[in-house]
Amino acid sequence: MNLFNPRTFSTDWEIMVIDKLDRLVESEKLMALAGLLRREFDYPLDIDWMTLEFAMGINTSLDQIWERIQQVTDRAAQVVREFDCELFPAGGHPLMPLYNASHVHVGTIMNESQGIHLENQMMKYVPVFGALAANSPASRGQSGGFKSYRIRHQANGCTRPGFGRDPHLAQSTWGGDASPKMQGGLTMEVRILDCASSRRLLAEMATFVAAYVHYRGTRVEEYQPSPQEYEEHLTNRWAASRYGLQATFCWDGATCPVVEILDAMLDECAAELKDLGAKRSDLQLLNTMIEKRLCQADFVLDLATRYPDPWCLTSSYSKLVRHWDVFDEYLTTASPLEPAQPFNQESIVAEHLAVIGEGTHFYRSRETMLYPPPVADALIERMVEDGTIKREVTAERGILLHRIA
Amino acid sequence: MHALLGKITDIAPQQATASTAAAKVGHQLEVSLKAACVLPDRTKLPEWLQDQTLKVQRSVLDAREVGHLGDSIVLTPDESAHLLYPLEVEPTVVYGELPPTLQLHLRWWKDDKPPEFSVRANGRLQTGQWTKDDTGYSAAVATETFFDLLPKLPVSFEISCDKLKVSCTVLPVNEPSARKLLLPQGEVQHLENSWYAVDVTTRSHAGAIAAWREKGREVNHFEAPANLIQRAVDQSGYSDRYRTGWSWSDKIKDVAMDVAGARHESGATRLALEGTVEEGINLRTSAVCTLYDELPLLLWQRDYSFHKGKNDEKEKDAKPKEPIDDMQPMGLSFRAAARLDRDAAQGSRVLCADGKRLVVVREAEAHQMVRHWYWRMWDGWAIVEHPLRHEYQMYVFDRETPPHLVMWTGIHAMTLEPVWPTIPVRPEESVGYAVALSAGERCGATNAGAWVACRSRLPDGSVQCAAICRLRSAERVTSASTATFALAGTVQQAPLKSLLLPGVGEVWYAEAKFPQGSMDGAFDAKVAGIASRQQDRLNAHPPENNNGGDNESV
Repeated sequence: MNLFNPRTFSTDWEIMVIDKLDRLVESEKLMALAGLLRREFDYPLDIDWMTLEFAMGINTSLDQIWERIQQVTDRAAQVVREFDCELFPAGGHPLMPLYNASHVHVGTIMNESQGIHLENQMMKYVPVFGALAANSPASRGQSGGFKSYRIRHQANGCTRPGFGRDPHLAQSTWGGDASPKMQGGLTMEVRILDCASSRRLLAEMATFVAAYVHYRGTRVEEYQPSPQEYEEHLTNRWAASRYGLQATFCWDGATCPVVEILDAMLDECAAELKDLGAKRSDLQLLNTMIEKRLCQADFVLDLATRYPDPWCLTSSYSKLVRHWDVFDEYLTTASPLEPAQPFNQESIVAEHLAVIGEGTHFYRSRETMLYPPPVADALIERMVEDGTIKREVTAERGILLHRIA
Repeated sequence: MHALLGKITDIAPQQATASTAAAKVGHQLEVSLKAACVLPDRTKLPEWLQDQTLKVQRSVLDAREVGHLGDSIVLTPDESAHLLYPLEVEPTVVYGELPPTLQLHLRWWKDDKPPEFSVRANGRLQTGQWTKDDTGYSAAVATETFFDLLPKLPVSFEISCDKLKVSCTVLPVNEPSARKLLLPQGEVQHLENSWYAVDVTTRSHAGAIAAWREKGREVNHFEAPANLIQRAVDQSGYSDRYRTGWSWSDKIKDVAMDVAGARHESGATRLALEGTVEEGINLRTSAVCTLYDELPLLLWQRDYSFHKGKNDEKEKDAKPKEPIDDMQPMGLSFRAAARLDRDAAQGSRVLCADGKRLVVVREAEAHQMVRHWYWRMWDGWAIVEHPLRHEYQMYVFDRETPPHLVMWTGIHAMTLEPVWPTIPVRPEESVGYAVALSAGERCGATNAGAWVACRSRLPDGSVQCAAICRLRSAERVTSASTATFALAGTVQQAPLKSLLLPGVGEVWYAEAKFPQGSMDGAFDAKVAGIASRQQDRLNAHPPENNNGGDNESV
């Protein structure tokens, strides 16, 4: 079977534009810049919230999308510089509650029902993509807690974990980590990916994601994750947001560093990569990232240690990433990182306990790792039994949790 | 703290020093820039920075971090301080006696030679020349030539140089006072009694409390995070706000106020401020800050009044209007921000009561806004508690129309943001509220009431202690009701006395004096039967000690 025919792909790359007072250019003015670019390129270039959205048209190969990415962004950089502005490609803004993505659209899919089955299957793999793309470790004045605050905060509602849909009971949805999107072009959209700061990385990542989705599209079957599997997917998603490529995932009943999973996935989709005119050795940046367990967030975190004030960080960060290849250079010189410890029941409880203070509404706990109610409730019950929290039920304030030292 | 954003005019590589080489810094650069604005609000530059070329040093791993000519560059607050506040005097505030000399310091870069300075006090003027030193220019001015006799305090020495002004103010010891201070960061109205020293800024927020120092412990309850670019009173301080729609209006942040008067009158020092918030809808505001002489108690009253709009005459011939057209929805709130101790078990938190229960809220994560719309703080008080550093701030308000509890936990600060529901206001009507503030080093809070106690040293060496208390049920206070103060092993009981505060209602207070008292020894209190929240009580929480009943005896 082959769910995708013809095999195509693209990206919607959301890039902020910053002026020489370090202000972000507002959406209204971005419309004009996007309109100008759209006159020159036959791609659906547009805007999203406070960003230019570079939709790169329909691509069939790594070389093609790499060429387009360079052409479009070179021209866009020139256009914005005429107004003394610069492109600022980053997954998060160090000061503001803004998250940006590099969505990858994988086409061409004709059967939405099959696409929903694939969406369910992809729940297992999208955290791997999230770890690979993690690039928002500085957001709203804080840095270091997560390599992707964007995933941690569901991109303000714009990338949310799947929940096991049944085509017979499905409605049109939007904003999932990966789901069929057939309102316009016929694609499977992978939204979990943080905005790339490196053009070459984006080209490689988009090609790999597309190839892997194509590969899974040859194996679509009716699938609903079991509660246990679903819990593991959500745990892995959390690990990806916290640790990026240092994460260790729960995988097929064991624990496994995410880079090893990524390594295997790259090999699994070799044939599909070939269809997109690529072989693994063409994906130099991905290979080095796997080898060193480094993602773009690690580059930002290094910078943040030298610029503790988020205003100063924003200024230096924006000047570096406008060169497009600073992360590529960083990869060659940075030291490898060690894998993080896998999550176990104790560390999961600790993650949930960490969000509970006093009078904390129990839904904060729900939002921690996005576990479904039975799992989240069991964790609350466990903490109550352990004597680390107490539960208070009030009519006016709902269920409140109180930490006990 | 504010900082400069500039545009780069030159980048000159420097020789690596031993320390930069040891730190493996890739590039040592001297960056020349022209300042463009002041962060965080990108406000216009002070006059003395216009068109000036400034220089900063940068040690960077990658020269691209700095950028190119024409790019922006952000200076840290520390780097910006001497540029934004180039004239300093030491001391700025002194008590009791004139300082023998004023030490002046100036960082000057406009011309080769700085203009002469002048010092004015007691109607006398003295001018002088600067002497160059390692960090700029300095001068010492003797104060004895300004006064023939010992002056009655307070007095101020106003120092000017070009368009820069600062002052040194000599305040009386332990006497209530109100005085304008010219600090390097700008003008503030300074109120003081024997408990607190309070700085009210009139330059923004339609008047706001920028500093609230407890004199006994020399603790500023509104201490701002250091070396962090931040708005005035955003991360620390008290400010008021309003809304006429969904969001809190930003307009008030830019409203400077006129000082309508500062005077001492029987038992209190009052500062009155007036200003216009929105010209178009003719929204005016006033604020009165009253500091009571004998108590650790500050009363803040805010009023907003609508007047007929300036365009009303023009609109006479316009479309027909209905009464609803003249109505303005008006929601009120204040925002008290203080430094956050982030500790999920023992860190900063808010306590209040809804009429039955003690409510405790401490968020463990940053960027959490807690809004409670379904109940109100019927007991008319809230305490912001910082147990780890023993700082407690109590806010007391009207019980007839209490606000909802709203608070926010940020990265560096936690806020208390009580919200009064939006109500309709017609032209020539006013709305407002009053809030009493007390801060100290001990607090007690149960569903029966709350208190804050503090201590300070008096000039005779003794230590005074006082507690401010809001009780749920005043009927239960008897003539035998007391507060107990324990200071370094000595215990005193003091009767509870009632005080009716306009707009706030009844509060209770007690005071005691310890002739042999110490500021170093342990201090504790128990007020109206409510014990202080000691370490063993820090983790007591509502389900155990609050079963919905009024179970605490007074």
